[in-house]
Amino acid sequence: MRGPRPWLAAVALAACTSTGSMGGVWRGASDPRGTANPLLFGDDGEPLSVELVLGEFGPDLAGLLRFYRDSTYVSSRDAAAPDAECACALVHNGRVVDSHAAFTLVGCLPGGSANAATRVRATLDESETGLKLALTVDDASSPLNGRSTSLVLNRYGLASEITAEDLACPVGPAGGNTASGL
Amino acid sequence: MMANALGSPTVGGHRVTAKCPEAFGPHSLVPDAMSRPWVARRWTLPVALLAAWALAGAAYAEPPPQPTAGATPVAPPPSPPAAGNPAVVTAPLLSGDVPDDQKRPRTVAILPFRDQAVRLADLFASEIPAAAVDRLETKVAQALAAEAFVSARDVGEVRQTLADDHAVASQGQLAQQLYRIGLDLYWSLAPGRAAVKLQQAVAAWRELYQDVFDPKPCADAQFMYGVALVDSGRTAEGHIALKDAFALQTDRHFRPNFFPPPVERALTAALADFLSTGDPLRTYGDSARMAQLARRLGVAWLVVGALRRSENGPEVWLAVFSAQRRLYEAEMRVPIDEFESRLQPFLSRWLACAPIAEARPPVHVVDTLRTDLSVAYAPFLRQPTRTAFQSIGFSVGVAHEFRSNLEWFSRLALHTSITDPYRDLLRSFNSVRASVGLGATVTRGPLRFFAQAGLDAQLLGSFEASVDPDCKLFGTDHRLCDRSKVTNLDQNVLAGVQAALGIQLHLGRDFLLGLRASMANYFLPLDGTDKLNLPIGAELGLGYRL
Repeated sequence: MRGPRPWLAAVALAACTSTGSMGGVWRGASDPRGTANPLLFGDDGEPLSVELVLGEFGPDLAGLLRFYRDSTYVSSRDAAAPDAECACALVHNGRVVDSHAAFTLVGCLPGGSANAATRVRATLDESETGLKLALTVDDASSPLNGRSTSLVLNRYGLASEITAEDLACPVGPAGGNTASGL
Repeated sequence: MMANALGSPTVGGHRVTAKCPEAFGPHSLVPDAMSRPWVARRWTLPVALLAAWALAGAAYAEPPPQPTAGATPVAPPPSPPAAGNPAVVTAPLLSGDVPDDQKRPRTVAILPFRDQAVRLADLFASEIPAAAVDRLETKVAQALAAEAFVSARDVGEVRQTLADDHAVASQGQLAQQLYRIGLDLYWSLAPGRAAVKLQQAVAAWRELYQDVFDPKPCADAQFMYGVALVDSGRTAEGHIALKDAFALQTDRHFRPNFFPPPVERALTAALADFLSTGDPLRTYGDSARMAQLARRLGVAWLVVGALRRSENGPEVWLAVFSAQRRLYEAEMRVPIDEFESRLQPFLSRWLACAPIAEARPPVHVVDTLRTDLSVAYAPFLRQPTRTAFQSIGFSVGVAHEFRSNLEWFSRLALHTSITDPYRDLLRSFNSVRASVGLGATVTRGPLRFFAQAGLDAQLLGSFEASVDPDCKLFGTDHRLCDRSKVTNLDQNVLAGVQAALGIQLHLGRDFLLGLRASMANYFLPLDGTDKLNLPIGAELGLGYRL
């Protein structure tokens, strides 16, 4: 007894439309060049791409932030593999209020952290072109504490298009971000 | 001519089948079974065949006696019922569709007869003999009591009912005060102002039907109203008022020289006018007031009568007023010495055309099976999600009325529940719901109301709910999902009791339109109903009566 009947599709759709506008797949790039104390950069100091996969459920957010070592990833997913040593960080305590959201990332930061998981505060604000993601390290034990960066994310997929592959976030190596630039 | 046991008039021992075309017209008060869409017509064909059989038999019988002049035409007597089928009787005309045990007595009230057998010369006589109109009233009451399916209220009851009205005491005092003020003003030589008060007094008394159960105070006020108008120079209005006063109390007489000559002349003219042009039977007001009076007395018909002088001696005027039709259905004017002999035929003739009501709904079908197919809306009042999820689907039901006003029912529903806006319900799921129980029913015309109570069980599909967003996004098997926050009632069966109210509208033929509202409370399994419980339901559908 699974699955609604087709004639219920309209009603079901109406019931699910209030999941908000932040849910979906968002992508953007972090370019550390010319920036003092950059937070996100690749092993070689080159720009880094990020992919934010978000599920919005009423006031709640869940998801993950995935890192790629090539900025071309923004337009082509297969252009580069995920960062081998720091593939992603999971979203915790995500909350949405109107067009503003806040959550915590717990995990590695490619190129920016030592061999330890780092807690990062994140905020999201809707803009005309997409989402503005601001990250601030909030971890007294981290040498990156207080360092921040912001990225502009563009929508790459809808919430309903999120697949199991998008949600894959393998547990990283115990050593954390071994390819850190620090 | 007399009434037989069926309440049907007879002449010479034969049942009257008088033509009463108006009774079948738009004003017919007898609900013909054929004209009601919700009446089952299961008896129509057999009755018609039996009637045809009876008429065919009568055609070979001896010719019936011819009716006497002036009497209602009669039909051949019905053939005796065949042996072994004694209960089949084709009743005549208006009561034909109503079995005897369902006939409701026709309610009649006899209003006080008016004694109008006065002479103009006695208007200022010191004393005049009272006419025995109460004897006429008694005769009418006895004659009506002898008729079958007639419930008559005699004059005494009518007076008592009206006099017992709780408003009589208060409003009667007000009318009395107005009358006193009017009299004082009249004796104070202010007839114009007196007329106003006296007119108000009359209106107050008439509102209480004082003119029916005790006309003297009302008539006094009406007379003085007319006198005041005459005294104030409004002669024409005074004449009408005095004529109306004589309609209330025709046998009123006055002391000679009590009033000034112009007033005495006006009184004489008014009485003469009333006796020559006034209708003896329309002294209680127009049709609207008569109908209102009938409602007040709780009857459908009013019998009015009057005694009047004519060139050939006293005459009795008698009429029957129908409150529903608002007209006089029968009238009679006979010399007083023929009144007794003519009364019974008159009443029988009227009753032949008077519709008879049924004591209960014409068709109260018992042992009837009703089925329906409905769309259903059945959300839960108690649910683990933060916002309500909706459940819709369809249901089929069957109900069997095995006793009068008692039925058993059984329903089966298939619902689909859709995720809530927060997606706390992790996925849509289907459920099957069954209920069975007893119901009480009441039928009112095409409407049938029912109240049901019974057992309710619901088999849930893949019910899983959680408020953890990680469970929603990654799935309940993911390491991020806190399983303690997941409510899993997958394939659970909830059981409890259900109560429902509903209404069915008979659309015609055997089709029904039904609306049913229900609520259930699950108590099984003992530890599984605190999360999901109290389903309410609304079902709208079409049914068929088998």
